[in-house]
Amino acid sequence: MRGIVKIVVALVIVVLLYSLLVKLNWLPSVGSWFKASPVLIEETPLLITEIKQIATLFTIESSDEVVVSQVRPVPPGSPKKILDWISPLPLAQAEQLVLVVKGKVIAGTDLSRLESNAIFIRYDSVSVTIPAARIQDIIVNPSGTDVFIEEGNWSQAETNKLVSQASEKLRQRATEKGILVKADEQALKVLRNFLALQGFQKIRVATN
Amino acid sequence: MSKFGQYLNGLLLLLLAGCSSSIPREEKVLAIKEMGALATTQYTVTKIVKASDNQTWYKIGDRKILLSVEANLKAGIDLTQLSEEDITSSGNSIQIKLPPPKILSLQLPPEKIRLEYEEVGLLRSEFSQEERTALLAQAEKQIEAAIPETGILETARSHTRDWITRFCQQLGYTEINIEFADQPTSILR
Repeated sequence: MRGIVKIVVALVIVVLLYSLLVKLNWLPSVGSWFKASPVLIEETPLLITEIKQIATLFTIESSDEVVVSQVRPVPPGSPKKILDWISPLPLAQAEQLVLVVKGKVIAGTDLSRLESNAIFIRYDSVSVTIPAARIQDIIVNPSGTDVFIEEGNWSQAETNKLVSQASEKLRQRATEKGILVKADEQALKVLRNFLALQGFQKIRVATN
Repeated sequence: MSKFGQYLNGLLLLLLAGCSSSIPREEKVLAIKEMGALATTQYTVTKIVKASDNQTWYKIGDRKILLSVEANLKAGIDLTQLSEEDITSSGNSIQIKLPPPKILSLQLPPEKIRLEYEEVGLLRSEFSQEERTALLAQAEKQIEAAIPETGILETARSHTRDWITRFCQQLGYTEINIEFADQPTSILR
């Protein structure tokens, strides 16, 4: 009997001591023993494949979030298909992938298309005609992509296609919100300010 | 019997509600921001994303993956930062002090993300899309951190100077002096 008491007391002491060391962050907690280690990528170099000179005036940035999804039939030979054969009740024979994608749509004016006859100067007056604003970039990056539902194995190409659909959705929504009109207005404002700072008194900036 | 019918209807409704999709239907615009940045340089870079999943002690077998990504970086200057003190003009000469160049956008086009190689142990499952996206997000961070080493900001400085010079020439200036606020070494053209 005394032996059992001794063992219990020793165990309690060990547990208390371990708890104290965990609290002090000197030992890992029991929960962390079964926590999967994060998969980290290795440091690899960047390879520069192209350098391009551009002249684009970014004037409006619209941040948005869209949901895209795709449903496909369960491929033959997959565990779900096999389970369906065994199961007395019919199982859903479709898999879906749902992504929540945050992105940015940037609209602006391509000033590299500014022709020499687009600028007219007389004394302190200047007239500049710039091309109409267009969507310049749609930025959807992995850091803004959240996989909400993933059933089955989806290939990288299938996911890329879905993210491209999200880009198109972002473009449509931004266009519906009048981003191009706003971008034109902002381009005129920015260029007018730039010309005013150069001392021009009468400034006319217009879009094509 | 009618009570039983009511219970049955209620149960059916509950089942239907339980089966309904939980996908958020409503999407909202986060923000629309006005800006005035002149992008003058675009770099295209590629990177190999390399990862091995063999660090968890209770998982038997390894998983390895290689993905290749392409990124588009754009750099330029913020024209809205220009103030009256930054531009001096008299006659045919003009002096402009431009704000320092900065990165304006980083984009990883989805169509340029490719799975190059994947090796999965017998007792392991393939990398899910969620895991791949997490790996790609790490790659995006690495690209962002390596931007200064690409020299894009120096190229942007040169490209910006070129474009502003050409624009000022079109405005009739013949003597153009452009410098950057963080690097006040003037170049006379």
